[in-house]
Amino acid sequence: MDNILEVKNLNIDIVENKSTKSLVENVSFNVKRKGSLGIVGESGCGKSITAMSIMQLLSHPLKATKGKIIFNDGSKSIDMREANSNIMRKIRGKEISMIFQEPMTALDPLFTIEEQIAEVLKFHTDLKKVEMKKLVLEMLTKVGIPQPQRIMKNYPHQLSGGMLQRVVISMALILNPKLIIADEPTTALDVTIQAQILELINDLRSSYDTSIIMITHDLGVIAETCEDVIVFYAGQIVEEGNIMDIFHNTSHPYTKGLINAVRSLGDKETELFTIPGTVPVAGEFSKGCRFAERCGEAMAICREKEPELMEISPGHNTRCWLYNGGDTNV
Amino acid sequence: MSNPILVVENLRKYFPIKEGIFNRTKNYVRAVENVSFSVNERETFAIVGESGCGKSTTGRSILRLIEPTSGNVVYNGIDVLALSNKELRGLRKEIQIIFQNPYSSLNPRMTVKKLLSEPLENNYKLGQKEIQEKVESMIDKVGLSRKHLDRYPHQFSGGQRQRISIARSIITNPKLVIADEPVSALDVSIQSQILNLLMELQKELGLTMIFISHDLNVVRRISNRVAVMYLGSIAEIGETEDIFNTPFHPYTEALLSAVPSLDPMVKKKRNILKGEIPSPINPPIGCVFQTRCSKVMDICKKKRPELIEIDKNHKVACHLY
Repeated sequence: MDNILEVKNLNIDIVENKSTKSLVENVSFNVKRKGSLGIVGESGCGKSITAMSIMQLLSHPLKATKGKIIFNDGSKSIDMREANSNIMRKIRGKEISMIFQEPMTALDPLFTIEEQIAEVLKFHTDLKKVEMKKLVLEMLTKVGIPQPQRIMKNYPHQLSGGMLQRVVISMALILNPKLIIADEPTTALDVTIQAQILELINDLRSSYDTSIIMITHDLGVIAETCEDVIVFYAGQIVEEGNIMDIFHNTSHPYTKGLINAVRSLGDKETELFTIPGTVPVAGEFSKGCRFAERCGEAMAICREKEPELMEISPGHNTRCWLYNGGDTNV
Repeated sequence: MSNPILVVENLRKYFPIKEGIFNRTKNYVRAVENVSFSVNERETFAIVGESGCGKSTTGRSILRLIEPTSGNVVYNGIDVLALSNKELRGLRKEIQIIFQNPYSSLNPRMTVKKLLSEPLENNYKLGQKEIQEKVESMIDKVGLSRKHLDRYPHQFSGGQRQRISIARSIITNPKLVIADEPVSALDVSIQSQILNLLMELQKELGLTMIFISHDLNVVRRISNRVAVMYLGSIAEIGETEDIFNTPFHPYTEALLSAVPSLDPMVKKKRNILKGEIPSPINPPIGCVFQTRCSKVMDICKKKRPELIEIDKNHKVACHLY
C-alpha cells in the first residue's frame, strides 16, 4: 500500500440529545507515503474537525459517526476511528503528530520548553535524562532556534510566536513521525515569519521523509507546500486533484472563486472578483448543491439535486453539475 | 492630488512599563518613534507592517484614542493634539475609524437601528424622522436590507457585521476614515466583498482613507500611497506601484518576497529574513532593522538612518542610499 492514510466515507456529526446535524459528509481521501496533501476551505467548512477526527481528538458533541480512517505505517494498518485509547496514545506524537494554529495556546505556560519537549520522549521512549536532553537540544537546533541551550530553559511566555511555533514543530518531529497534521500552522504568524516556517517544514519533510497534511485557508500556502489538494466547502469535498489541476485546470466554481478573489487583487482596473453571499452555517445546508446559492453558473438542476464527486480527468475530481458530461436530465 | 488633509509630524508614542510598589515607570515600550507622513485629500494611504510595528498605534493616535507622547497631528489646519475633549468630540464626526474585529466592535445589546442612529444623535441635532431616513439610506448603501434594522449583531455573519461597522463609521459623513485591518478577520470570499464596498463608498462619498493592514496583496490593490513600518518607524514611503515594483529598503524587499505565490509553477526566489523583530522596549541603537538585515554595514549600528527622498515622492530610511 503506498498510502499512509486512507480516509473512507467519513461522516462527522453533532450528536445532541435528540438531534444529529451533519458537519462533514462522506469525505474520502488518501495521503501518499512521503506525500503532502493540502486541505483548503473557509471557516466552518469542516477541514479542522476532519483532521481532529484522524487523531480521535473530537470531543462531545462532535462525533465521527461513520467511515474508516486507515493508518498504514508500512507493516500494519489500523482503523483510527475504532482504535482504543491505549493504541491511540501510542500513535499520537510517535506515529502521527499535530501542529496547531496557535503556538501560544498549544504549550503549557507552567513548564519550560525543555520539559515540554522531553515529555514526548518520556512517554514514548526509555531514554535516560541525559540522552533526552541531548535529543531536545539537537532538535531545537534543527528547527533553527538560536542559542538553544538558553531557550530550552525558558517558559513559553518568554518567546515570540515564531519561536514558539518552532518549538511546537520540534515537539511534533522529535520522534520522527510518519505523518504530520499541520492545522493552519502559519496563520497566527507574520508573513516574514511564515516564510521561515514554511521553508522549515519543507526542509524537514524532505530530510525526514514524513508525509504531511496541511490544513489552511490560504491558497498561497497550499501552492508553496503541497502536491495534492482537496477543497472543502460546507462539509464536503468539492474538488480534489494535484496542485496543477487545482491551480491551472480549476474546475469547481467555488475553487475558481477563491483563486480569482486573490488573483483579482493584482488587477487595478476591474472590480474585485467576489463570491456573493455568505458561507453557510454548519449543519444548515440547502437542498441540491450546497454552493448553488452563491454560484454564478448555477442551473436549475443545481437547486434540485446534489451533484456527486466526479472524475473529470485522472485523479482530478469535482462536485459540480457543469461536468457531468452534458447530461442535465438526471 | 496635492492638498494634504492630514499631516503627521514626528509622532511618538511610548507606553510606560510600571513596576514595584510605588508603580514607578521603569522603562518604555517605544511603539511609535518619530513617524511623519501626510495624507492627501481623497487618496487611500496604506500603512503596512507586521504585528507590533506600531501601525495600529499610529492610526489610533491620530484620533487620540491613544494619547501620543509627542509630535504633531494637523487635520485640515486644526491642531488635533491641542483640542479639548469637547472639541475633539466634534472632530470625530469628521474622522472615523473602522476596527478589525466586527465581533467585538459592535455592542451586542443594541439593534442595528440603534447602532446606526447613535452616532447621528451624538453628533447632529436631527429629528427622529431624519435619523430614520439616514439610517435607512445607509443600510442600503452598505448592501444590507431594511429588515435587518431590528436585529442584533449576533444574528449576522462576520462579513455582514463588518458592513454594519462601516455603515456606523460613515453615517456621520466623515471626510477621513481610518480602517484598521478591516478585512483581516474575514474569509477570503467575503474579504473581496468588503474591499469592493470600501472602494465604492470612497469614490461615491469622496472619502480619504488611511488603510492599515498587514496584507500586501490587499494594500497593493486598494492604496495610492504606502508607508512600510518596522519596529515603530517608517522604513519606506511612496507611491504604491513604486514601492511594489522597486522597493529600496531591504525590509520592504524581504516583506514582498515573503508573500506566497498563487502559482505553483513559480518558485519565487526568496530572501528569507533571519531572526525575529527585536523588542520595542530595547530597540537596537542605530537602524532598527540591523539585526535582520543582509546588507548591514558598520554605520547601521551607530546611526539611525533618516527618511530621505531618493526618487520622486519615494523616501527610504536606509544607509545604503
